[in-house]
Amino acid sequence: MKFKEMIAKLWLGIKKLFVPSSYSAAVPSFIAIGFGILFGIFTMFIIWMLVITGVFTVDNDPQFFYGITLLLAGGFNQGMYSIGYTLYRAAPLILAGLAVGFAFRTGLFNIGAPGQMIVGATIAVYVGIRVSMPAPWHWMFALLCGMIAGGLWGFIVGALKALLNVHEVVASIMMNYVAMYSSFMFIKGNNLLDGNTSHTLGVRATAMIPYGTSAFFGGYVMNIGIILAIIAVIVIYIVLNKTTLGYQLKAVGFNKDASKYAGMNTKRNIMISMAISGILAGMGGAILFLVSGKYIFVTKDMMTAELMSVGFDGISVALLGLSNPVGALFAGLFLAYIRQGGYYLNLANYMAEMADVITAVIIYFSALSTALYALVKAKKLKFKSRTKSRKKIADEDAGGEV
Amino acid sequence: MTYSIYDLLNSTISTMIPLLIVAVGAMVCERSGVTNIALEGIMIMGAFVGVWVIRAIEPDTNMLALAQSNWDKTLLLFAGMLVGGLVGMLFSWFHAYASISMKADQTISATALNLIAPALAFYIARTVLGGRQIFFKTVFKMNTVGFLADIPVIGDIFFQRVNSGLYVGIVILIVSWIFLYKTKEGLRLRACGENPHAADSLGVNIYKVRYRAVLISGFLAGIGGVLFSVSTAKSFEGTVSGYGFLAIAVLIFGNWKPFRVLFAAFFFGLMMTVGAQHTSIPLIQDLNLPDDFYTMIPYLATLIVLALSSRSSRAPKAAGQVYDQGTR
Repeated sequence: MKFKEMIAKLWLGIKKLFVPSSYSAAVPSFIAIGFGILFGIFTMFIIWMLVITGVFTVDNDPQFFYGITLLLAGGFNQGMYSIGYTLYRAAPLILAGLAVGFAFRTGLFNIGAPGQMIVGATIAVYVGIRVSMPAPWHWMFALLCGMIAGGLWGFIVGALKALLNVHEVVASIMMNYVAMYSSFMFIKGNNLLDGNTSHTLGVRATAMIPYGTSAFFGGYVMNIGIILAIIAVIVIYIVLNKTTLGYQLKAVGFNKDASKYAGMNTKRNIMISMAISGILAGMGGAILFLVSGKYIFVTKDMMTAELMSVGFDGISVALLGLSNPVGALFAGLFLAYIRQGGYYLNLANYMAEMADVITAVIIYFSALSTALYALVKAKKLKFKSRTKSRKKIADEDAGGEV
Repeated sequence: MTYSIYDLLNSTISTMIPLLIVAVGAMVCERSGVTNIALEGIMIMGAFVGVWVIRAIEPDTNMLALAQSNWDKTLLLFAGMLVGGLVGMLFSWFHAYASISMKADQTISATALNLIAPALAFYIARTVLGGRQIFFKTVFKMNTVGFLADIPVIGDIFFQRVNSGLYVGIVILIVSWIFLYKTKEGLRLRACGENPHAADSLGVNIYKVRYRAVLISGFLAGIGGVLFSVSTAKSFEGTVSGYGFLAIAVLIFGNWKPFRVLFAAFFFGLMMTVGAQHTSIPLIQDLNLPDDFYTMIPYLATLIVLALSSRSSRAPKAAGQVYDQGTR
């Protein structure tokens, strides 16, 4: 008897370990990913068909089947080299997703991650160029400065929201533009430009984030950025789930009025949440640029392509990862993977923008599928409770007769 | 030629009209209880197809394009705006479907549309046209509009160096005011945004009203996108420079009321113009600040204005909330 109980307990424990309750919550994300990729393949097919049937002509005919393999093979297309590159790309994506997701848990939509990344990257690069420090400390200091700058940028939006009731979405969008032009002014004003070019100097070797096993990854920019991102994921997980602060932040997100009634300082929480979110985004921006051969360009196009877009991808990562830190980790890896696939699509004469289209469709479907899932769940619950109450009534009736 | 106050006003008007039209669309949408931050994406889609149509039907050579009469230009612009509007409407349907029928989070579905629009526009443009931009040749600005241009002051501001979008904008503003405040439909729409449950209990079909509002806002955003492209550049660049979001800021600053929105749009138009033409405006030119600072002015001004005005602003009560009949 006792042995049996022990086995049952053990089994439950194992089950809990491998099938966490959040597993079923991730189902909508997988449905959305499936739909998104199907949509992408379908679009590629249509274009292929249109070209084949001669509706319009292009210089190089797209190769449909080759394109699909390239897209799906994603980060594996060129073996270790592209895996390393995918991981390098994933780190800032994960951090941006973490930033957006963290704010989301407090009920704030931080669409300002791009701006926070820009500020973080600019300050980190400034420290990386102008400050001289011994090796292990320099990059850490640069990273820290980037994080603080990003945090400050996020804090401004939080303060505007908490104290002056400014809609955080509009405020953060404006802060993105302000960040971009301030960064241009800062870089030009501090003479960080490399001669007559439109980009900054390279950061000092001491300020570069250490290379881990880069030889293994084909000698590319693979550094410990991904490890830093994973550490951030763990820290945020702990903050959200194991601390009073995290509990309060989530409570404000669930119900602002109730948490206020319970004695929590909602205004302070909003500001803290935005600041932490900004710190994460700033860290992402710094990690992206504290490497060799990467410079900040002071033109709108390049800034949009290199920094802004990563920040906006953070929104996709957060939505796909259901605002969960661990979810952001996997979503970031997935997005980097599919982007890498899109990058190779050129080889099959498709445009790399396909990856953007697919991501956007995935987000749309994830908005739909979360709703769908909730709908199905609600129906199930209703059904269950109905059968339960019926049973109860029947039991009571039976009891009454006896 | 010296820079006159009319130059400033003319440029302000041509910048503010797209903003105004999109903000009016956002107003109709939010007053019905649906927030629509997808306007940026809808504008891009509308501008993309609208400009493409303009390019397809305008005269082939530069000379012929420049020789067009005011009527030709107006007709061409109207064709572009109509197509752009319809495309915007079609595109906004996805937002309506997700946020009204599927009860999805309005911010998320709108964000998805904002992501899809530029990606899709770039993708199609690069695949079909071979480049990211779509150029057109017509200059839509009309130098003088008949005898009206001779009226002092009014003629200088409204009938010289403007495109016909100006008149469309004014008509849309007035119609929106009449619609919202003087018709039964408008009353119902506002009720849906304030207290949908009460409106529902009185027999108003919330879903239908909201669908209609989102589609109207999509149509207006599409028009706004086309007007943005024709009044700021000679090509579609795959972006509308954050005008969709600025329009929402205009709406908030305008406190969700038609004529206050007009005033807000004027303010933003002025800021934009100052930012863009700082080298030729006498007083500002002397300040000698970095170029990037001037470009930043509209965005900075938006932040400051919102910080000052948001405290007393009153959004429609049900805006952004999913309406679920079951919770009544």
